[in-house]
Amino acid sequence: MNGYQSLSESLPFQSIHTWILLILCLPFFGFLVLRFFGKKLPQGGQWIAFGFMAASFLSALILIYEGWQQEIGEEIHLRMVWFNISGPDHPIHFTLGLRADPSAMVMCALVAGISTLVLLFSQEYMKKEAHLDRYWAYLCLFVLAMQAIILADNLILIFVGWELVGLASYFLIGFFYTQEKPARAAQKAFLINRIGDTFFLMGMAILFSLTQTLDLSALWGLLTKGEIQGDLFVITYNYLSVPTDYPIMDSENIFVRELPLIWLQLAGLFIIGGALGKSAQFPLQTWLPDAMAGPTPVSSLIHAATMVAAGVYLVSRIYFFLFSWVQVTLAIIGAVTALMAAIAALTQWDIKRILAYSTISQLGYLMMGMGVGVYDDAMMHLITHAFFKCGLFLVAAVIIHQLHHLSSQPQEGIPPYNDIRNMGGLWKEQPILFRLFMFMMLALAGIPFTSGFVSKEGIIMGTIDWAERLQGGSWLIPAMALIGVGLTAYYMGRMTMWVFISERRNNVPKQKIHWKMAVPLFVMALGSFWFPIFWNPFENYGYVSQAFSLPIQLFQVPPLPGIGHHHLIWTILSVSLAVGGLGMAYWHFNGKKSKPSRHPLQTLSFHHFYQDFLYEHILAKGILVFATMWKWIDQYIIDGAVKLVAMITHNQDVPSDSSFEPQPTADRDALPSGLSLARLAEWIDVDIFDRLVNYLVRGIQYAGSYVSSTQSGNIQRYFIGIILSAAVIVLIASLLV
Amino acid sequence: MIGMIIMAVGPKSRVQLYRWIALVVTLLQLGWTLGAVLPAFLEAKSGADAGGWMSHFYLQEATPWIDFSLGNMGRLYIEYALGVDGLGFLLVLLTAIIMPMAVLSAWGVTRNVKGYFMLFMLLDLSMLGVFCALDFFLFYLFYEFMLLPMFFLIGLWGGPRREYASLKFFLYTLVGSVFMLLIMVGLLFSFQNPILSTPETPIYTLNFLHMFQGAPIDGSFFDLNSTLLGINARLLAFGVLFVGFAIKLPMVPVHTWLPDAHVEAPTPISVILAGILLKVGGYGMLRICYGIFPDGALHFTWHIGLMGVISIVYGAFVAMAQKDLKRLVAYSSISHMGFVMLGIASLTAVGMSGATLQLFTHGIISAMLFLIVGVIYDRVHDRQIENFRGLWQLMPAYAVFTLIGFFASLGLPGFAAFVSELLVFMGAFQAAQLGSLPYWMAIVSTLGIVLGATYYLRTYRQMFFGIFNRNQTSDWLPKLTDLTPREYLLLTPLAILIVWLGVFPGPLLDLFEADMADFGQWVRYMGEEMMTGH
Repeated sequence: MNGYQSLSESLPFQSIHTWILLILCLPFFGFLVLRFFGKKLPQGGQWIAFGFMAASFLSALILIYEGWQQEIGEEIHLRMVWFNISGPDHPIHFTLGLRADPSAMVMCALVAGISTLVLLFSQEYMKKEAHLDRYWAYLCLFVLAMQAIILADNLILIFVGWELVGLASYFLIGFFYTQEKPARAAQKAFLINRIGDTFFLMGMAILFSLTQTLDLSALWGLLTKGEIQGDLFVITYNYLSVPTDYPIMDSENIFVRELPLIWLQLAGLFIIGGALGKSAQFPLQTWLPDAMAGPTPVSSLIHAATMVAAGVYLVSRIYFFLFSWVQVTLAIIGAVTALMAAIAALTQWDIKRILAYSTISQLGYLMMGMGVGVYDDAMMHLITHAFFKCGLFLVAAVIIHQLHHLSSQPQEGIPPYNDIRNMGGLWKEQPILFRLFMFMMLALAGIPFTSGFVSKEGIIMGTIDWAERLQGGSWLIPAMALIGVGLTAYYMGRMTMWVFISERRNNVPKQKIHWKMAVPLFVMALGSFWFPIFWNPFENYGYVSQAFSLPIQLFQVPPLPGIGHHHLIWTILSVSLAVGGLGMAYWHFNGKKSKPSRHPLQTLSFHHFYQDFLYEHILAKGILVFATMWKWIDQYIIDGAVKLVAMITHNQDVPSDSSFEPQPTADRDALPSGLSLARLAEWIDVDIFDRLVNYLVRGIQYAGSYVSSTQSGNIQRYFIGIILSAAVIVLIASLLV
Repeated sequence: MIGMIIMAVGPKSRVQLYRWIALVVTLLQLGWTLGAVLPAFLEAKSGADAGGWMSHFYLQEATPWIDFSLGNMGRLYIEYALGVDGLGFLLVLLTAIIMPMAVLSAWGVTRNVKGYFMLFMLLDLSMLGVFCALDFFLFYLFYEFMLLPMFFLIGLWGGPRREYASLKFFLYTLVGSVFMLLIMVGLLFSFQNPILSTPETPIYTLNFLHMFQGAPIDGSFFDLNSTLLGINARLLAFGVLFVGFAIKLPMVPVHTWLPDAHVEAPTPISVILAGILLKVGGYGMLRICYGIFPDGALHFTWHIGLMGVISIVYGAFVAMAQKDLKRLVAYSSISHMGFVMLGIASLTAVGMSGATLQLFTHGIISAMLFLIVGVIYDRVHDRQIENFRGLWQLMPAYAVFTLIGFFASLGLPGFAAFVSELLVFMGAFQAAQLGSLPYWMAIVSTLGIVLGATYYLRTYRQMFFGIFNRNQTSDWLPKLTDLTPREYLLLTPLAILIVWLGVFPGPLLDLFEADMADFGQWVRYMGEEMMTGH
């Protein structure tokens, strides 16, 4: 790491930085162009959006190529000072910077690539919608914010991107804003994310209060200088080694700074709290299924492949200073989320909700992987999952698009074109679609020779290694992970049966898939195989994997030897669970029609353990009631007390004329307001203050009543009044002396 | 010396077309501030050597004003002293920006235009005076002068319950200013002018620059050891003054005048009230309370932080339950002003700068929000949130500006308020780390941003999403037209400014952050020194 340059200096611009800037600027220009001129362009400027995005993808590829040529240890890092605050003994620099390390470059290319494909897909899918210019503009905004998260070199910029993707997601979920459901879903997604973001903000503020910087490389430099001593984390540094803006008095002394360890740990935990919101982890995951109210390509891009992975990416960025108990917490949360969502996915009828719960479940695996320390496998699963889950959503989009004119009654509030009970038979109707779907479905289920198998296997083996080290209750985590594998295969099998294999339950004529839809599908299906990504179908090793070398962890017990061993028996177990799940599903649903039976457990699963019910009907309602209560207190108790004290008889209901029409003068004089004012002034005079005030009040009263009685009267006159009263004060003040 | 030539262009409007005069005057003032005062300020700033924060008052201008002999007690010497430091200049700038907006938004006033704009100009003058005054007496005079035009503007041009509201506003604020008067009288013989004084004839002064030099002379009313009613008189004075300014800010529980005043006030007055007048409270706290009684500031840190947190959370909760859009914005103001108190309680460089920036950002954002409320109220004379639906369809441009205003106010990054709130949070946590504020305060205060998002998004969904209900309010439909050019002219600069400050806060922060950092450090140092003297 050579990130020790003082934060006060901007880093010099090099030619390679052009590509980083282009990755960000192209979507930004796209956003501006489409927002301001999109209305006038054909189809809202869809090709402009596509062009900007494709160019951004190209820049990302060039960046990878150029980065490949860089020497080892050389960083692609661009930074400028945002603003300064003069601290008590040293200035604090807030910087904005972009840094492209290998993992960031891979993520950049992934986001830009998938976005480009989804834009192409959307051109066909959204063809008939109004206000398409907004749709393209929001997508550009989303990609801009997402790339900012990926490339940011400090936590503040990550947070900026973080909130902006939330904003873009808010717009896109609420794209059909005239309908009630998307509007509510957009609000819910933003608010629940906001809760997570608040934790993120707290974590940042705590970290800042300890280290005076939020720059990631400066943090790294600072924290590597320290060691744990009891309750404290002691950083020792001198003139040469000071990595950040810590105070330096002279060039010789060695400085020691003691930080309370617990707050350093909590800072990590709080920042992870932000990741729980964005990556839809327990207990903040309930927004994601509702977010499916947005257009399906949006669900595919944002709520399956990229934005929800931002939380995992954030964890990877702050991985180096996470403490072991924080990681254990993360692993438990991940496991609980994965299992809960997998159970919920078993009974859904809405094709998008099945996939949404499956996404939550897979994100749980990612978090679990981060928690147990298989950083590289978790990041790889992020990449592979992005491909096959995005692809699965696109398949769903194709089907929904074709069924869009289906006009049967919605059951349980599910739109008929989303309901898998209205599908079926696509196996014969659309054999190519079926095959593409199968590749991606098998990757999700974790069947060997798919990309999903390699990365998921890595995570599961990681949990087993981890449990072997910790023993005891920690075996629950691998157990949950393995159960999850079986359930995943089962619900995907169920979906396959209902959608593709069982007999047809609608009469929508067979349609051809437009090439704009087919191309993205083919790419996603290709990404579901092992060979584009890995070199060996059974090992996480390849060009891409090299980008995710495990960062050194500062606060970890070094792992025992033995990590990385392949446990053949466990692999066989997990594969047989997956195959068993698929088989169960086939056996269970083959030739069956819609089951009317409603077991209580099924209901529980269908409603995701009533977590949403708890939030919406108890917590949210409770908060509103609470707020109303405070409003009441404000109105009647606090204000009432004031009124009581002031003894104002506020019964003078001035004729309730809301316009600015002049009041008849006589009415105004007849009001008792003058009386109450006088009483009040008198009261203040007698009870609280000395006589000075009386003069002031009288003077004002005089001037006030004078002016109000003569509407168009001489303003000069009451200026004189004011000045007189002021003069009186001066006089009295001086007399009193 | 530039001084305040701005003031000279004040109340001279005697001709026809008062609107144009007012607009031209305020625009001239803005141009003057940006074109002449800003470069002069920057030049003076860059030329100055690093001294204490007291040496950072630039563009000073002082003339002896009241000077009378008190026999053998010495002489009382009151100056007409003006000058600005970063904080003062920031607020002068804010005033200069908001005033033309307010004049422009008052275009629709038809009744007694002359009087209206005369009062406007007087208000303008006194607000600038407050931010520039360097003499306590002068400050007090301007402070009082500010009150009167506001009272009339609400009371004569306001809504249905305007008399009640204006009276409430007046009395509340009067309580504050009377407190201030008392303290000022108490301080009359506490500070000597070090240059003019001789041992035989001590010359007493109320000039801030002399008052900030250190403790008052022994034997004066507010010297370090005096007590009043068994309490340390200095702490009492700090408390009393602080409550006076807290009314203005406003702080819970002395805030109830604000929603009433806002609801009854016409749009331009609301803009001034939220945009500038509330800032006088924050300014007064820093300049007067913290400046003259740093020991009190240190002693009451915990209480100020607590009241700030209560304001943040309480204001947000009450805002959530409001049904009137204007009341909602008013309560959100209370919530956001809580951040100012939390920031100044932290006494850290980051927190103080954040609080000061919050004064500015809230000024422009709340001005925009009240203009937004005004747009809808002008059309249908209704502000009940539940009566509107699907406005996006009817007024798309208005919807976009509202979106900017709401998201800026809830602290979304990229908009101005994010930077100031971030700095305040950082300051609060830093203070917690230093031990001067408890951690829970900093943590609880972050609730404000979740709740803020809640009430804004709920309101936005209810008013703008969905389909406009034609049956219920059919006569509204022709009235709900999109923005007029004048409204564009009002909202566009504010929106640009909000985004600009959110992306590039650096230049604005540079104006004052060093002063605030030094000031915070000085308060800590001086306060401790004085505390040991108690």
